[in-house]
Amino acid sequence: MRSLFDAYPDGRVFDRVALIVDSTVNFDTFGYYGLSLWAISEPWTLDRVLEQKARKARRVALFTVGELRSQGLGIVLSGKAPHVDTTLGAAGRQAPGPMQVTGASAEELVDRFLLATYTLVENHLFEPGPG
Amino acid sequence: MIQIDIEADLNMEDDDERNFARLPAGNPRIKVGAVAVAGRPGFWSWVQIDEIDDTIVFFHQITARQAAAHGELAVPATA
Repeated sequence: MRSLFDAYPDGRVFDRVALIVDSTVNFDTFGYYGLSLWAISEPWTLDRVLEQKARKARRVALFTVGELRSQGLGIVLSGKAPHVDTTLGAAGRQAPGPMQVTGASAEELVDRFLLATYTLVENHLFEPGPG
Repeated sequence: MIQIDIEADLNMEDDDERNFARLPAGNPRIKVGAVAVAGRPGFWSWVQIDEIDDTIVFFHQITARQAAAHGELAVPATA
């Protein structure tokens, strides 16, 4: 699941450039291009994630692992549950040794991510307003 | 439109469950312990800054009440 920024002027759900920036920040911090997702499973049910990790997001996008994998993307554990990253292949923070990264990795990751089918869900636990 | 101090993807967390983002240039408000607004216009939160390195700022989300208690807010426009 990924919380959505729903302020893009033309109604787009994702902004390619913003996603490239996000994945590059991940690279700068952890050494690989990744996009953050929340994994839904016990004990992190959808409602718990919506309330505790996405309460400031009006909408979220739900992806299946199978759909992401069908686009050539992997899921790696990162941070604390329920946080995970989706990456190209099997890169991840736990991967030992130097990583092979190409200049096009961020763009390729994002373009594959944007091809994945998702389900839009209204966050019924959305908390409008500041903070 | 909200004034965002730290352009951030609030989905991103590190091993300590902190959010992080690229360090904005030239904003004197961005210092450890300070309260700021992070995110993007459709998905943002008050945050408190935990750590700053050369290029990345780490922070955690706080409530509006906690932000107000800090007492040094430059209140942004309405969301």
